[in-house]
Amino acid sequence: MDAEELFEKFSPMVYNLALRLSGNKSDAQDIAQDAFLKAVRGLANLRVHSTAGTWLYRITMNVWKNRVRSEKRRSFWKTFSLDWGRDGDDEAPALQIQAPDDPVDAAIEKREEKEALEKALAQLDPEDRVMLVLREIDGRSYAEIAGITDKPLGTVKSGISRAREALRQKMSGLVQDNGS
Amino acid sequence: MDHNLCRDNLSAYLDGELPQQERAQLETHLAGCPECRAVLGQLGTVSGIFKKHAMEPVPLSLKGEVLGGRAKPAPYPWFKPVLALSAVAAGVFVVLNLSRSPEQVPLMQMSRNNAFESLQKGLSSASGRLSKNAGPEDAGSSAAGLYAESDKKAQAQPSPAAAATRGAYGQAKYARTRGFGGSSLAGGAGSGMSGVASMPSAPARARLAAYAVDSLAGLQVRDGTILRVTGTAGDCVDRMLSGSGEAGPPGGCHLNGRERTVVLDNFDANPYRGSEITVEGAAKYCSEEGRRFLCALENVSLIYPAPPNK
Repeated sequence: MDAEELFEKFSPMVYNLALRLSGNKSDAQDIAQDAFLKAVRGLANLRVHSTAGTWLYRITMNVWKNRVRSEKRRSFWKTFSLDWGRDGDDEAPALQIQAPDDPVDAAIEKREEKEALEKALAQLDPEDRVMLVLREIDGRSYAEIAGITDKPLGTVKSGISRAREALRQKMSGLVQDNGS
Repeated sequence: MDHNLCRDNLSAYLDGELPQQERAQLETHLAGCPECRAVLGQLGTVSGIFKKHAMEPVPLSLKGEVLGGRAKPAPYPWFKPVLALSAVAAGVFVVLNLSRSPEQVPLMQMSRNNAFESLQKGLSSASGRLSKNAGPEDAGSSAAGLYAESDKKAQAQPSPAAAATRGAYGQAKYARTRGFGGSSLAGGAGSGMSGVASMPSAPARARLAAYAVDSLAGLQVRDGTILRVTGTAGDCVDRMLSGSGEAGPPGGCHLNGRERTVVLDNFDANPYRGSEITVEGAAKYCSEEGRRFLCALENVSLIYPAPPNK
């Protein structure tokens, strides 16, 4: 597998993992780029291509963790310059909530659903979000998710359960309308 | 299976992750619990909404950035020193500057090769005190002379509360562990250090940053690892500037006088320039960023000779 194949196959998941970990698109792009660059450098050592996804997702998680530590370290310095911080980072766009008396159509309903999901996701723990992505989007088993996130199996089970329950409660209006 | 246990296992049941026996027990409970059945349905709806909306498209520019191999901007674009002296800082920040074959010992001692060479060169010359205008080439002057000078200076300088000082023993320990041939370095038996009783006190709070020039692969530094970094203090800076000229964190003196080595913060006197300085502390928040490995440093101790006479 070459670099381009690796990117074509895994960039959607890597980017979205990075997005759900960082919570914003600017950091997500940086994390995804770093993860791929590290992966490309180590591609020659990848012996079993079927494990490329797991390996790449782990790299993504580690890149994110390093960034978190880096931010904590920079916060260490803020005593004398309280306004000093990251510059140029993009903020997540503000949610656009429609007025309730606007006409509702399928596109608007879909957007409302997405916005409600994003708002609810933003309140979850980043690692719980990532476990949900790996489960729902990539179809990973709990054991595989435990390997990628370097967490015990019990933690994965409780993390996914917690994340889904939190989403269920935060999106109760949408969920109860559609649920059984 | 009781009601609460059922609720805790609904997600795993939805994912087909329950062992057969627990699955059977849960299904038995579900048959008689409309509430749990409703929650299960809602969890399924959540799952569906998530699958439908959770994936964002990959930015088009990402492919170019990855496959085009474009260099990323430096994580610290503000690192452009100006010529002035720093104020007291609260924390300590260390980025390891590695030798080519770092030793993996709990007490990690990192030294620039050229700093060591200049120290050795200085020590091999005639002993003497640092002159008022000592430059980098004098930084490695006889340890005996340096420490004797320090001894005199210590009486004039206040002792800060938060920093410890080390004397000859500290340097000797460093030298022996690092395998530099301890007797030729400060603190060794033959170095004439034996009479030195104390070192000048370090500023109460200090900050130190050093940039690694090599990858840290194989080097086991983690939170709590004691780090010790040595080098020659170079130009001192007041405050780091961003690329746009915006003032950043307080600056300090660069060890070895190069941006990519060590920045010693909180040295409020230019006399440190040219001095051999060692800083020790416990690593915190360590992470790798590109080719650099960065840590903050807690409970810092400064080991240095006194600044030259003005």
